[in-house]
Order: sequence, then C-alpha cells, then structure tokens
Amino acid sequence: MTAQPARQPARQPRQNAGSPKEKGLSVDWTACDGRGLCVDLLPELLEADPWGFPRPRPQSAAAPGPGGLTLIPEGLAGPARRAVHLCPKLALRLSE
Amino acid sequence: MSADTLWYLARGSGAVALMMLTVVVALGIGTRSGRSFAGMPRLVVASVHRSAALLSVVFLVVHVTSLMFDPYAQLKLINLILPFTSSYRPLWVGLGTVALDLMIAIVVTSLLRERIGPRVWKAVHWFAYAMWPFALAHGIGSGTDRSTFWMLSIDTACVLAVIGVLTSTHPALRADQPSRVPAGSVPGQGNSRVLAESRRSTR
Amino acid sequence: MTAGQITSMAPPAPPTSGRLLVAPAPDYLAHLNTFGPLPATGGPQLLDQVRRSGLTGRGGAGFPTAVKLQAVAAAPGVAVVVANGAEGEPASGKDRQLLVDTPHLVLDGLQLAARLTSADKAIVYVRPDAAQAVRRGLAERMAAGVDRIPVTVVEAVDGFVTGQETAVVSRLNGGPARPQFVRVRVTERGVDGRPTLVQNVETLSHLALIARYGGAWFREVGTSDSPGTFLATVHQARVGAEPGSIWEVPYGLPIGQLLAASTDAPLEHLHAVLIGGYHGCWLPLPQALNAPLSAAGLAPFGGTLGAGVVVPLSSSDCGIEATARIVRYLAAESAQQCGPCQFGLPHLAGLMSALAAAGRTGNVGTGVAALAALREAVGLVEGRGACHHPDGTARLVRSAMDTFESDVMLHTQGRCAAQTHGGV
Repeated sequence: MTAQPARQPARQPRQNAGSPKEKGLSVDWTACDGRGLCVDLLPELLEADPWGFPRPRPQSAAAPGPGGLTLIPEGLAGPARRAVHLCPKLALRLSE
Repeated sequence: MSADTLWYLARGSGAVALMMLTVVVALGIGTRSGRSFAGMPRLVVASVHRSAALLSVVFLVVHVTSLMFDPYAQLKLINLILPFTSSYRPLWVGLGTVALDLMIAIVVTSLLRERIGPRVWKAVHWFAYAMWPFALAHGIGSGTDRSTFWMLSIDTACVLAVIGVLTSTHPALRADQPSRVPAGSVPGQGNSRVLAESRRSTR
Repeated sequence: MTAGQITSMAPPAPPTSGRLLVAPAPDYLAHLNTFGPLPATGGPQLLDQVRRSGLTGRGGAGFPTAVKLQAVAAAPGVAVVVANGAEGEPASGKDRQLLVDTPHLVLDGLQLAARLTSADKAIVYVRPDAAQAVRRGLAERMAAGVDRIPVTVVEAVDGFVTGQETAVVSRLNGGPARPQFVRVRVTERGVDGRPTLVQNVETLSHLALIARYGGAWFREVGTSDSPGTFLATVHQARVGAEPGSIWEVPYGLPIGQLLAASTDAPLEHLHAVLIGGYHGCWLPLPQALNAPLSAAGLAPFGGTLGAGVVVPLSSSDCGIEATARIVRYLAAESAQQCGPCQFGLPHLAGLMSALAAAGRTGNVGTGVAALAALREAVGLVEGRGACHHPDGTARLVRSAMDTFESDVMLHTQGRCAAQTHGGV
C-alpha cells in the first residue's frame, strides 16, 4: 500500500467532469440510506458495498472528494435520470 | 352515448381508480421507512407504485369526464376544485373532490420531486393517508350500486388490503435485527481531550 | 491609558525570537506594549500584504488566505467573519494556547478580516475552556473602544469533526455541528445565508502581525514555498503521555531538530513520528529525521503538516496498536450521518484492532485475515462521505501499513517487535 499524496483542501466536486457529452453522478451521503435503487438501475456503473451503499464499479471513472463523481456515459443518461428521480431519499445529483 | 352508459363508465372507472389507488397506497405503506415489501426489489416496488399512481390518474380523468357529460350527475368544473358544491349528493361527491385535489397535489409534487426537495415532497405525500379514505368513502356514498356484490367485494378487498399491510408492517412487529451489521467490533471509547501545556518557545 | 494616548507611541519593532506567543501577559496593555496598536491600513493595501506574505490557513487545510479573503469579499451580500477555535483534534492544543495567552492577536486578526471582507458581523467560535479568556479580552477592547465590528462569542461543541467549515456554519445557523453536503461554498453562502469567512485563530493571529510588519517580514523565515512560522503541538513518546507542548516553528525546520528540542526520549529510541494529527501520516525514523517541516519537505513521505500535531513513537510502542487506538477513536467520532463512514470506520477499526492484537496474542490466523481485508476496507471509506473524515482516517491507515510494513509482517506471524523491546 502506498501512502496517499498530500490532499487538496475540501472543494466542491468539479462541475465540468469529463467530456461535454458525459454527465457526473454525485451522492449526498448525508441523505443516502443505502436503499440500492440506483445500483439496480445502473449495474454497469455501480455496485453495492457490504452495507448497501453505492460505489462506482472499478472500471468506471470516479473523481476524489466528498460525494465523488461517477461519470455517466451518454447511453446511460436515461437510467441515470431515472435513478435520480426514483431515489427514495433524493440523494443523487446529476451535474453537467 | 346513453345516460346509463355514461353512468356505468363513471362507476366503472371510479372503481378501477379506487383499486389502483389501493395498490399505490398499500405499496407505499408497506415500504415506508425503507422496509422491503415481500422480498421484492425496491426498484420494482417503486416502479409499480409510480405506474399504478399514474394509471389511476388516467382512470380518474375518464371518471370525472364521463360525470361531466352525465345528465344525472351534472358535474361541473367548479365541483372539481371546490368540494361540497355539487348539486348531486354534495357531501359524498365533495369527499371525492377533496380526494382528487389531494391526489393531484401528490402526483404533481412527485413528478417534480427533484426540484422541490425531500422535505416539501414528503410533507405533501403524507396527505395520501387522508386521500385514500376520502376516495373510499366517496365511492361508497356517491353510488347507486353500493350494495351490489361487486361493489361490496371491491370495497371490502381494498379495506382489507390497506389494514392488512398496516398491521403486518407495524413497527412493533419488526424483527429486532439491525438492517446493517458492521463487521468488526469497536472496543473502547476515544481518548480524552488533550489540553495544551503552557510553554512558550523560540525557534 | 486611553486609546488616544496609545496611538501616539511609536509601534514596537517586530519580535526577533518567536512571533505569536511573545506577549508577557494576555491583557490588552501587554498586547499593545508588545505589538503596538492595529494599523489603520485600508483594505486593498492590506490584502496586497497578505498576498505577498503567502499566508495559508493554519486549521489543517492550508488554503491560501488571500484567495479565501478575496472570494468572500467578492461574493454578493454583506459578509460574516468567524474565528474558528473549535480545535476538534484532541492532540492539538495550539488554538487554545493562542486564545488563552494572546487573545488580542486573534481578535485583531478578526477585525482585520472583517475590514478585508467588508463584513459587519464577527463571531468567535471557541471551546468553553477558552471562551472566558476571549470574553475578557473583548471586554477590554470594548472599554478601549477599538473594535469597529461587534464580536459575539459562541461556544463550540465537542467532537472531532465539529471544527470543519460546514459544521461550524451549520452550528452558527442554529443547526447541528455536523458537516453538511453543500452545493454552494460557505464563502458564498454560509451564516445567515451570507458570504462567510471561516478562519482558524492561528491564521488570524499571523494576519494581525502581517498588518503591522508587512508581508515581506512574514517571509523572512520559513521556506519560499511555505513562508512564515506555524504552531506545533508536540507530544512525548510515552504511552498515555501528558498534554503536548506548543512550539512556534519556522517552516522548513528539520523534524529531528524539533524532536531534539522537545522530546525527553533520545532520538535513537524513536522509530516513527506522527505528523499532522489523527488524519496525518506516520513518518519512519530515523529515515525522516532530516525531513523539513513543510509541505514540500513532507510530500516525498506522503505526509502533510495538517494542524501541526507531532506525536513521536518510541520503539517499545507498537505502531499498529497506536494506529488502531486512533482509528477506534476516529470511528467513534463519526458524525453518523453518512453510511460509508458510519459503518466503514468501525469496520476498519475492528480490522486494525485484530491485526494489532494478533501481535500480542500470537494468533496467526486473525492477523492474516485482518491484513487481507484491510486493503479493501480502506478503499471502502475513501472519498465516500460529506467531509474528509473517512479520507483522513484512510490516509492514516495507509501510512501505517507503509511505515510499519515490517511490523505488519511480524504481526501476521503472531509476533510484535515492540514487545521484544520490552514495551506494552
């Protein structure tokens, strides 16, 4: 295990994540309750951790920082929007 | 269309709407506070809940439209907004108006839930507990066929469904298992706070 | 002495040895005799001095102060300035020291911050044990009529994460002292929905000196990348040691020099040092003895200074057990509002504890299993939460795995080097 490099001070997740066609999905962790609807809707990108909370699958890109940002490829924009709408705790945000 | 047809259409669509709403409410009650319903994936339950709600809106549109053309009911547009103002059975129809208005509020806020935020959305959603009994009472009081076998069966089934789901998911009955078991214990509490000693220093 | 008499005196020369903790007494008169009155420098000129000085935040994040001041000044609305003395890190005592021994430097800095951001409201957020000193200082200033902006004292809540910027703002807005998920930074919308400057009390103290002696003076010590001095809380190497002592250190000073001056134990008896507090990193000794205490000096070791906490570890103490103790504390200090932290940190603490125990009890199986699960457990908490509490904890564990690598191997064999040295 290598030590982490010095961390940046706490900032907002970057707004223009990835290419213009890709959106970023971020989680309000204070609201998320690990219900798992998002994991069911986006199995290509998300998986559940041992306690049910969503995490990006190893192959999908994720940016560091509070909330994190999972990049949503163009084809999955629909399911991503559904996940944001259906989340029982409204814990998901989709940013451009 | 004959008057009888319109009336049957109104009664029929109303009954179907009530059954749809019972499904919506039963699923909503059954999955409150993150419960899982009969082992079904939450996504499935959420989708059915949503679809049934939108379907009931469709049936309610048919219900209300046919009543507006029905010469016996003489339902006017204003009766849809102001309760207890109809010429035909104002009390019972009025309950339907209240239920309809509450339902519209719930559906609209749910469609716009990302914009309005969880607190406002939830506050309006609570009215479902008033909306459903009002709809049920409206159906029983407004109709001319309340004592037919069909209507009695439907009404009874709806009531049993809601009572059933309420009692079977009562908090007192919840098995005492924590929803998440953190692996690994955390023995001992944190260290007490360290206070600074008063010592000045130079480089 | 009235304010009029004081301002007619020539301001004293800048202190030559030590900068912050040099006033002989905490009262206002001693403060004036040591540092002179606060100059009336206008906003733009003052900001220029701050920019030149290269002053960065001393609360742990190290953010450039001039940039932060400008952000708040530029945001629409009238600003609020907050002196953050919450000092949630239990191993840190420098903020309390400053507030008790030289509150007027902090209060001067607060007024300057208000001037720079055109704020009309100032709050001092401090723990109850320092609040009295602050209130006394404020009473003295009120009698002398020196503060332009009214200052309120709000007592801080106990807890590791309560000093985090959004937690402070939440508390000041009447909510819980817990980090918040914010779409807009507090510099734009914070206390009462207004642009808010949350600045550590040490940073404000440096600001008070920069206003008097200038940005160039500030850069006279330290390194070009990390100018100036900082306050370090240095502990002794004994387990269950007494509170740490506060040292004012120029950036760039080699760790070994600080330890030689402050620690009782001979340097040869130390095998690691924790820099940056509980969210910091373990540096191996003697390899890191010459590492300069600065961002650039610690970067090769993967460490940061954080809020200046230094905890040396004796060879007779097990680094894994020490880390496990800290992680258990950090897990208990979770705000309990984010799942990955709430469940992931206790899980991590359990694994570290198991690994530590394996070295004592000789249980090979537990040690091996714990190590295998640790890597994944660390990954489960990083970046998943409303604040950096889980990240900081993960960083500590990673650095422990790195620095104590040989100890980790011994533990998986059911042995412990520290025990061999006759430790606990």
